[in-house]
Amino acid sequence: MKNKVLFLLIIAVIVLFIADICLGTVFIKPHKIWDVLIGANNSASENYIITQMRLPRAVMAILTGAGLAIAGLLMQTLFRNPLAGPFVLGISSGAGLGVALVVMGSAVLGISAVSGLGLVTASVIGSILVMMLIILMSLRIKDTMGLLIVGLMVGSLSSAIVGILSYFSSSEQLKRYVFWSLGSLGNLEWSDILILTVILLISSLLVIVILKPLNAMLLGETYARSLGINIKSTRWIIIIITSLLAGSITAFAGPIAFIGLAVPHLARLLLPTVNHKILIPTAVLLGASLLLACDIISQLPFSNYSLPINAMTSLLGAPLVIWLILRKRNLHF
Amino acid sequence: MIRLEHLQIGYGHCVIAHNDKEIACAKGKFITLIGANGTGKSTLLRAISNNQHLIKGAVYINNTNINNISDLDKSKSIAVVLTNREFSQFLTVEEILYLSRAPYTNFIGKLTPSDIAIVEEIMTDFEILKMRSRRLSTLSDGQLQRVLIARALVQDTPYIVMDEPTSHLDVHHKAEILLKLRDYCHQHQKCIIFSSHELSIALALADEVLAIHDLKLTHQSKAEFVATGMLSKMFPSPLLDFKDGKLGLRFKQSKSTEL
Repeated sequence: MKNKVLFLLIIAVIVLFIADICLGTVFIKPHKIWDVLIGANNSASENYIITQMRLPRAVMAILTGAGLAIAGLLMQTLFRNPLAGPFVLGISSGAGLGVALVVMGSAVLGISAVSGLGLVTASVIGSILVMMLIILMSLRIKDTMGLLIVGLMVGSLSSAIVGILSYFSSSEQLKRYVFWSLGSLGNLEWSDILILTVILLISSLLVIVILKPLNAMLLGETYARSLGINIKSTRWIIIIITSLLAGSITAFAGPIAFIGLAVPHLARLLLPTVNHKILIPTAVLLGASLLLACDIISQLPFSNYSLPINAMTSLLGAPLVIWLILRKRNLHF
Repeated sequence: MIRLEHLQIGYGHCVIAHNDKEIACAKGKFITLIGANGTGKSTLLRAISNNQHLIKGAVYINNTNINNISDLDKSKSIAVVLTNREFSQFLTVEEILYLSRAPYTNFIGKLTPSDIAIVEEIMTDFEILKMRSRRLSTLSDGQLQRVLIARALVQDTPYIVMDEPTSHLDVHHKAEILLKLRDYCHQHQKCIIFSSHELSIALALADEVLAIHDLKLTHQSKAEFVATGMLSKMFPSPLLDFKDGKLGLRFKQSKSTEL
């Protein structure tokens, strides 16, 4: 059963990955992808579309979906709360605040234009700052629920500042911020994707190190400690993984909603198990295929229009989770 | 042997129970911990198992201060049954039992045939084989308590500390489980300390009694404890009548009816 689900998900990721590259404003036949990759295609425009636009975009969808799914799953296990997601610690709010300060605060500071790179830097700095604040807090707060509330407070604090900034900013700046917050998987360089790949690999290695503690945490912190698990270091590693993943993904793709919250639930109900050894690979594959599917739809194939990815993930994800709750009647962590 | 030395437990500077001497709990003893509500039974159990709420004094396991024992080594000598319900309700009965072999499995948590054999044996002993693949959310309170007791035994430690392990069981299952635990304790030379409000059954089965009364923690053999007549001091009530450690109800006609 478990192997069958994993096998089907791998197939789904491959099929959706190819479909994501083929579909768009112009349709490109699947066999052309191979030709382009081995350099046997003569059409310069197709070469450009595939190597510079659609391939990085599809790879980005996989990295983002997988990373957010891992982050969400770890948060739900750490906080023993089915509502937790990668953004509950306020990491994406920190990123949003960084971006808002640069985009809308630049007028106040007297800087006129801000480059795309400046945006990414601001977002990374914002998430790292919040992450450091959370880690400092976690030294003092022994209780994980307290940490959850601090995360939520940091979130509303930064949205308040963003609110004040947008109140005083010009419509041009406001538009730019709104565009970032709608999320986008496109417009990325291969070097950006390389950074994200490295971060995802490091996180995956760290996840393997804490597989056993993660499963023990399912018994609650007191039982886990009585089983010889080092709760403190496990908590730290989880916070570091989540901040790295959510921070960098938010920096590059904007605050992508929903995947982190919904995918772990979908994985648990699909299998069904809470064992992280099975749950993590499932969530990774499920997150990747879900975001690929969202990307394909948001491109509105064969038309000249596209929709923001953030709207798509919620449009698709929210009904899915509601349907699952109606069917299963409850959610667990 | 668990040794409690000059123990003072409580919160902040407020001592709720103390013993000025030394208390030793030996292997092979089935020890009940009794006291009225709020006297610090759970606090004492947490002090023993987790080194929490200690104001003064120390807890020793085999002559090593519990402070100096690593979490992993401690997990191989003390198992606990808690009253909290913080675990994932999505876990199945056998999953929670397998996870409790964590102190002995490798870094990725791989189970060996001997881990599986121990879990099977305990599941058979505690008659939970039939519910092995049920999720914890589908169990009744009583079934869940049986699973949690089995969980502690699966950890295969010389010392087991249980906080009201039978509070949700009906009176027959209370007697049944406690009897089974006592036999297990004697057979495998374990030391089990359990708190209970079920005085009649607990006192009938226990070898020794830890009692908290009037801020004092005492440790006596059962016979000594019953002889001192402490029970009527601990639970002063015009309705209750304690005779030889047995609980009776007193009616207006002053006839004593045994429960």
